[in-house]
Amino acid sequence: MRSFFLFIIRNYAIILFLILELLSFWLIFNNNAYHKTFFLNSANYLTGNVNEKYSSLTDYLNLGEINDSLLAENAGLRSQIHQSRQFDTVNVYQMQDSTGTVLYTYIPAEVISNSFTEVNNYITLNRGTKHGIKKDMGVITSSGICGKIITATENYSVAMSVLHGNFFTRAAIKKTNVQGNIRWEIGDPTIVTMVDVSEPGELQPGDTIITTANSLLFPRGILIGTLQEYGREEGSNFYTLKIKLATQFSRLHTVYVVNYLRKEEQKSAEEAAINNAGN
Amino acid sequence: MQVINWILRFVGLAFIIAFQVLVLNNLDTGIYIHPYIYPMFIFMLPLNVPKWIMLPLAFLVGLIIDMFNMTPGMHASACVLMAFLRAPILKLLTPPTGYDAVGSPNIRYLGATWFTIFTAIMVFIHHTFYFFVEILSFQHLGYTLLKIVLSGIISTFLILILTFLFTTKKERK
Repeated sequence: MRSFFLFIIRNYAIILFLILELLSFWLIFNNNAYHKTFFLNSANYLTGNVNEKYSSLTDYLNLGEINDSLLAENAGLRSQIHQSRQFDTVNVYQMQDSTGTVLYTYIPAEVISNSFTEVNNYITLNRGTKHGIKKDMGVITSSGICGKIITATENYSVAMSVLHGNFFTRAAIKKTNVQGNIRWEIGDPTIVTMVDVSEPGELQPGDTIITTANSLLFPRGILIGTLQEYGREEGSNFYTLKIKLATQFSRLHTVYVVNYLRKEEQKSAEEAAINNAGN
Repeated sequence: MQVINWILRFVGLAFIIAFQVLVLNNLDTGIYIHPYIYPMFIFMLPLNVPKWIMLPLAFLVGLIIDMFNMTPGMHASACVLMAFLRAPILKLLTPPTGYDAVGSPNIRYLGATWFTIFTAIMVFIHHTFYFFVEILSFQHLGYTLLKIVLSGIISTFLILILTFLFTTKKERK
């Protein structure tokens, strides 16, 4: 026993080193997937304030640009107001003066911290649970998709950017409605890949890629980007498309958090269907 | 005197972290160049700091950077490794006159050449470990290696500039 303690005292530096490294790796592996909640929550209280102050300082430098994008967006919204609604009535004739049921609401938020050149990128927003933001909501900008909320505190929330190894969403080629999955590969922050596309038909560079209705994150028809090039690996049935993102992640400023009001319903219906099919 | 020295060090640390988080982390320098200068606080600690202070301190500093970068544990692990390897590296680089008159690794007593080599070694230990932990695979080896080399050179350069700026002419050898 005595020699054991002596051993510990003599080698305390190595033991301390190993303990601290183990602690670090415990943090890395526990937090780095989708569940960063604990760390990010505690981090938010500490860093949210600093980031927000910094952001308000740099805001002034971008005012002109922001004004332009907001004007463009307002104009766009005017023409698109029906996209977020669904008509519940079966009688087609009533559509003319029916206002439809609201399916999506949008919570505007400002980006107070944003990375786009890391291996995994995150976006911190200045809105939180107080304003209705919850985990797993989608985030869009006026130009396209942006990310997915992974944690929210009272006043802040953190979204996983599209430029994150774990980000994943369904997408469709607008022209043909052929579907696939969107992923980001480390490297270029302006390009995503659309994988698992079978039989895309005739494609041309510049074709539009949009979100699909079965995504729980985004409404149908939100722009993802435009096709740059596509190809198929030898012996594979699936095509891979390189897509130029519509959202410029280096210039994020104002974003909208998408609240899909029937998300739980759709989710439970889909789960029930899977369970029933199993029986 | 000791106390003042430590207070100055921690004020310096606050400035280093602010510079790192508010300026360097926000620079749009592409996907290969991600300079980290905050390790300078750890490898420039006085030589007589015992390991049981040095290692937890390195862990804490790393963790603060982690909080701002949303990379829980990554900077902390790289920092702890660097702090642990400082003693062997110092031993390896012992100048002919020894470290007798030297309080901490600095340009004043050890000269610009020695300090540049020491800084480069410490920075590359930190960057190599950090960037591999960040990507956690050898899949993108070319990307990671290029990132380590480019970021390491820039970081070393920045740390040297900062050290020169905050060393008065009289102190410089």
